[in-house]
Amino acid sequence: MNSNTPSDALDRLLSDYFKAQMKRPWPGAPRPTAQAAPARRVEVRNTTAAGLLTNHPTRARITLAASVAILLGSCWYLSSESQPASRSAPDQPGRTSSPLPLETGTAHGPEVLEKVKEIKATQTKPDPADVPMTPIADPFGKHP
Amino acid sequence: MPQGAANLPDPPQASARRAEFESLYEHHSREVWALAYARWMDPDLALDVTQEAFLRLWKQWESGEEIQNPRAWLLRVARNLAEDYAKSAFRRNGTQPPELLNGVRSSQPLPAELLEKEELFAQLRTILDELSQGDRDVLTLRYALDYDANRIAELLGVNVTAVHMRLSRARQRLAERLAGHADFAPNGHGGQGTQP
Repeated sequence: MNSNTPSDALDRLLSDYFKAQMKRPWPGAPRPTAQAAPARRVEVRNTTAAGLLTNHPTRARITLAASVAILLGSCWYLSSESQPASRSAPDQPGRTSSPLPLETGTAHGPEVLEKVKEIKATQTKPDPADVPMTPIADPFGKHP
Repeated sequence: MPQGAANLPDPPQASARRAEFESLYEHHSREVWALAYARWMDPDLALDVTQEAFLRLWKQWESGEEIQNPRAWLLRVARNLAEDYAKSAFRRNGTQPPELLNGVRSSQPLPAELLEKEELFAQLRTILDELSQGDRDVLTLRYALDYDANRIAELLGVNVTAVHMRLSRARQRLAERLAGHADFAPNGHGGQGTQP
């Protein structure tokens, strides 16, 4: 058959047209959902100490637990330190005596208040406003 | 054919099934594409239909359905999917009529020779659209997949004579419509002598 006949030209045209419609390269088979679904995770737990530290989720949990423990311990320590232990036990034996009676006294003892007044009277200097003024002598004698 | 796939397959069984699936795709995906393409003359839609048909085959296997003839099953599903597309709202209310696309797929400027070919393809596509779907089936299988008449007849479930007749009729009509083109000048109605 002569290759220049209209029939052959039509064959070529049809062949070119239909082959041009097909994708090249031809796409692969679709991935079924069962295959595309993530496989069930199989965890092999390493229970040794080194394994725990190298295992990221375990290490994170340990770090979190340690942080919480440190926080709670700090709160407990600070709260116990700030409590005045002497307030509830004024006559506790073995306790060193303070020079101020208030440290060992209560608000209901009038004798203690008297003592405080005495101590204050001896320790405090007189207020300059309470001292009467004395006349200053004139160094030039101009004013009698 | 895998049986009893409803149960979770063990890895060797799953890989064997996957291999069979790949083999079916390799051997029959182009046929499925050709029939879907012959329906709408849209290569991308045909490829979507093809992929969907194969995915449905996989799902059938997974549900434990026995499919005696996967090739025939795939072709039937592809035809149904293509017909369903005809009923879809997108097809009915599409944004552009098919003739506007006119087979031109790129907005980039083309060299003159390519542009001429694109125009010829567009003209051919218009003529193919006017043919019956049966004729387009035969033409697509003949020219896209280089199938001979016997194979086309077996795939379409018709006798070989009918394939020859359809092919001859389609070619004659194409030759008539393309007569204005220099390469297809009327020299008698060609195509009778070409037997696939």
